[in-house]
Amino acid sequence: MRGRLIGLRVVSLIIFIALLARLQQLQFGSSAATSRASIEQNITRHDYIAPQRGEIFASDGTTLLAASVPTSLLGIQAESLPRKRADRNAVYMRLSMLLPFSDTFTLSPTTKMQEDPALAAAVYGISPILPADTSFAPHQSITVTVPMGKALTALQLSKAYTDVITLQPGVEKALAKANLPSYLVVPVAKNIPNDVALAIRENALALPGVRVVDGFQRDYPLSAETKSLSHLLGYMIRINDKQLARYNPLNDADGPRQYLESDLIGVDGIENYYESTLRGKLGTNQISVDVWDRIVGEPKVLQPMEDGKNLILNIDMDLQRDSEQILQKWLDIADQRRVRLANTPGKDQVKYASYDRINKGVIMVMDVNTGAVLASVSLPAYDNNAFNRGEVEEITDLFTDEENTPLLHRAIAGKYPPGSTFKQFTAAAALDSDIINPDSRIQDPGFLLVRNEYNEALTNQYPNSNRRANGLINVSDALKVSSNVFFNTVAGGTDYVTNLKPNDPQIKGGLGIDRLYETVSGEFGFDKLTGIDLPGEDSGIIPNKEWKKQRRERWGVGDTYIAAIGQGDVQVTPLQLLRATVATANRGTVYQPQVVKAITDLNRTDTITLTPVIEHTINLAPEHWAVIREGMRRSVRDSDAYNRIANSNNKPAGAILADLDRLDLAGKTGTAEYAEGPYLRSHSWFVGFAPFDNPKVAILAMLEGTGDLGDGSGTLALPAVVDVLRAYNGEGFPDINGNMPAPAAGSTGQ
Amino acid sequence: MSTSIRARSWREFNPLMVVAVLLLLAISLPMVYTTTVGSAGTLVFGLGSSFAKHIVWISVGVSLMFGLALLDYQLLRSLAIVLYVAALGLLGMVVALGQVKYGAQSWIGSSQLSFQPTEPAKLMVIIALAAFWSKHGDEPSPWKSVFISLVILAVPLGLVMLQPDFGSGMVMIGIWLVMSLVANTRWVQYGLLSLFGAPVVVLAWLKFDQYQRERLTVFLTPERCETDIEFRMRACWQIIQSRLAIGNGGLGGMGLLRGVQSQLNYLPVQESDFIFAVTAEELGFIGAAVVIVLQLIIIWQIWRVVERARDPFGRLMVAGIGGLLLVHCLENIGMNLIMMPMTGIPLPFLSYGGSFTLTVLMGIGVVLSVSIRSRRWSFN
Repeated sequence: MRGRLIGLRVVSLIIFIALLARLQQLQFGSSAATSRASIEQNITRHDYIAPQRGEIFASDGTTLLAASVPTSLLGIQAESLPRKRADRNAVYMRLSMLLPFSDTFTLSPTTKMQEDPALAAAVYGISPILPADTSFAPHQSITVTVPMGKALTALQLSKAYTDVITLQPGVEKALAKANLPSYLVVPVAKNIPNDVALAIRENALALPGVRVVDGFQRDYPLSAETKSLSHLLGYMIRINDKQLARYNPLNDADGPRQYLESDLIGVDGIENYYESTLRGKLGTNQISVDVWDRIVGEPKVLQPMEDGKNLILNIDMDLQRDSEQILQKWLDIADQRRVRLANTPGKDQVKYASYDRINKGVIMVMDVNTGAVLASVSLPAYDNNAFNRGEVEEITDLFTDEENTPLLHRAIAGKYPPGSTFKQFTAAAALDSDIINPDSRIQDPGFLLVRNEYNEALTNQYPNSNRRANGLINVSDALKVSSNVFFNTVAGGTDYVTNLKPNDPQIKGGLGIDRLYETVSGEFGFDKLTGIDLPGEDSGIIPNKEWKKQRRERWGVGDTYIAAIGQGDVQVTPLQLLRATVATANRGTVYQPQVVKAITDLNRTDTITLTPVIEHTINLAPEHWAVIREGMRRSVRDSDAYNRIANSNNKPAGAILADLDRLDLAGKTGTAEYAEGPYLRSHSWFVGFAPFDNPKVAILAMLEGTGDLGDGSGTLALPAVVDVLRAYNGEGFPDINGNMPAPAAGSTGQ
Repeated sequence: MSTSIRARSWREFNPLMVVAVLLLLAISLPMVYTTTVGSAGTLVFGLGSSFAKHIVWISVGVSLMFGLALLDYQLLRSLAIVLYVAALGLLGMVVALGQVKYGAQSWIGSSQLSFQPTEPAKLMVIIALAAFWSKHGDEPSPWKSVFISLVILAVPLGLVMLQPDFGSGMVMIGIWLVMSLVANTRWVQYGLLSLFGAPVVVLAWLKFDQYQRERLTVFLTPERCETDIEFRMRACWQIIQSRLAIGNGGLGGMGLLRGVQSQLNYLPVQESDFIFAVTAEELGFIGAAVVIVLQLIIIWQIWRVVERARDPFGRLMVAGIGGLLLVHCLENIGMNLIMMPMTGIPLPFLSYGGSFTLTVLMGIGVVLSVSIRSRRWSFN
């Protein structure tokens, strides 16, 4: 007896010493050190206040291009959901009584239905028709869809038959798909009706973890109709981990977050370039909460919320819409010709039949005196509302359509050989370097035969279009007739030319690539980014000796000949070409192109108008500007060009000429060759400005692959620009059949 | 050497134990206050408040304690059968109509005036077991009485497990073990019993669902809480919050009403199950260690009373009460310290709750009653 009592005392002592030791360990051991920090984390929540994203308007300041539409979202905060599965299911199923979620349940094994008539009756009560593949065997299971209104019945069934029936609530599937951290309110339904929102708020106690959030949804009201807006506006998708890591501090302790995992971020266009302006600032309050998530004490403002700012673009919506229709019209005309040629027997039928559908091109309009982008159309385009709808298949198609590449913003990211539209810049370089003066005449025999500088046995030929001989011509004539030989000679010199007569004018050494590069890149801005307020701009390529060296090739005089006429390795973006043309039109001012005109707050009380940004001024003698501009005017009026317009519009040439005179357009056509498969194809270009003396606007059109349809399609771009100029002047433009729109009563637009 | 027995001895009143009990009750006042005060920090002294009720229960309990001390405990022997039947009735009632609270059907009545019959039932079972075993005097327990004592235990134990109240079941088994030890159960009998007991434990384990099993074993694998999110959500709340609270306390504690975990109610049923963690957070290591030492002093004194009890009935009863207090301390503090399964049983003298406070104080009353009537050794 005594021994047993000693035993009891020993056991008691051991127990209490063990408790004391453990207490000591928990209060002073390694885990205690982190307790205070963990508690801080345990009891503090960050309450995030989403800013309203700014809206985007066209140049009139009222036409809405990107809207923030108020919407009620149903969100789930996973960490506040009940911890037991059955209780969670109850929350989900209650939601399913209010909103359509695709709930299902799995019944396994199906034989239970045969064994238990009550179960069978209940299942048929939910779904009168079982799935088609239902079979009754010990290991078979079926998945039954729960119709709306039967959610609670399904819940009770799953509780009564826990072993047999497993619920798959639709809300949970949506949560899993979102794959977001549990502290966040994850949107699982958009645009929930007011009465449902009210019902959820009133029944908050029965719906732990369920939140109704008033938010905003992006909408692009005009993009469905005028798809070319999408390239300018861009689109928004959910922020990715890399971006999160870039914008957010490593730890919450290091500073406030700028983005939540559920936030959208602008990916392309204005939405991307002006992301921080449009977004504003995410507000963050630090709150302490008790175990029931009730706020204790006053919230501490870590970062005040700031709404985003509205943007007003330089884009004139009417002109944008018209330009898109005009480009589409001329692409359709070109494609009709392609189809006709492909179906016409002849030696080129196989070639034409191999051509892809013609549907790609660019039209851009820029203000000559500010660099403002008034319209920018790249086709094919897409509807950026696809990203708001968030349908995966639709979005995937946009990214995988390699034939049409609808996401490519050709106006700023498409690289094309400029062809003859480059000649005025070569002219400027030659005039400025005193290689020629405005009156210098050069013999154009229709083609040049040039001995290879490194191998005398080789001779290369550099022809004009159709090898047309133009005789003795000056620079203005050369621009008018688009002489290749003139600009070849000026740039590369006559040193190796073998087919000139001894008494023909000689250009010793020529301009050379270095001086040509210096002018076209340094002054006119090729081979450089223009600095437009859009992401994804390409800088194009102007080859020079350095560039060749990097590619382990040697610069030859032939390369200079080719570069001078915008062929070979020369590649420009339509935007670069248009900006350089603006500088030609305004006699030397190179602007940084601007899509955004003004930034204003949501109430539009405080507007900041962006001033034009002059990048630099080209220092060229006035008489040199005069001769280049004169050449561009004569180029438009060149009989070759307007005859082709006449042909393509079935109109008398005189009428076209009168039209061009009235519109006072100057510019330069181009047919720029590129290799596609075994064939040499070409793009058709026109870039010009109007009115001639005091230009207001510069317009560019480029239609991919339409320069070689054998019937003068090389100048399809000119009539397109004429149409745009008419639209700019508010005159209207002819439809695809050449019919002018009937003037609408009491309306100035179309 | 002869033994002389006197009716009462105030020298054996055992002042150390009484002082320890009163000190723990004194600590319980601020601790119950701090755990039941509103999270907004408003002072709650009203008549309907938990704190006021606690004062009432302590007052009634202390009165009962001294009352029972004065009463000759032999009276209880005659009431043993009545008390046992009453205990079964109470436990049966719990199973039949008890409302589910905190996962077990162990409360009767409305939330305003709820009553935990399991607690007094434990005391009644102790008296019944003591009355039965004391018939054998100090002789080694025969097989027959071991068997009958197990039956006496098994019926209320079964009812408790039906609730299911795993914690109280453990307490009852603990009581039986201590009492059987004092009743001179032979080691060979323990050996054979554990052979038969093992399958029962396995069967009981199989009866638990996954949720219950995880709650009972989470203290063995706390690291799984860090790696398995689903598991963490199901089973880890208590141990995480308790560990944080205790770690937060340090040596001197955060100060009364200043514990973050307790004031924001992160500790579940903190006025009862997790009052030790709250003590550790607000009063620190010093406060919590004092609680442990005071509990040890009480139990130590009880074993002393067992040693000196005048007759087997008194000795067995006191041993049972000692077992009850020991297992409650081990389970409750052990759970708070993440070294025992998560079971919702209160800490003697400290936890809020009328039924349990009255039960343990009456138990101490019985111990005192035995103590002051204990035998004295005289050498004449």
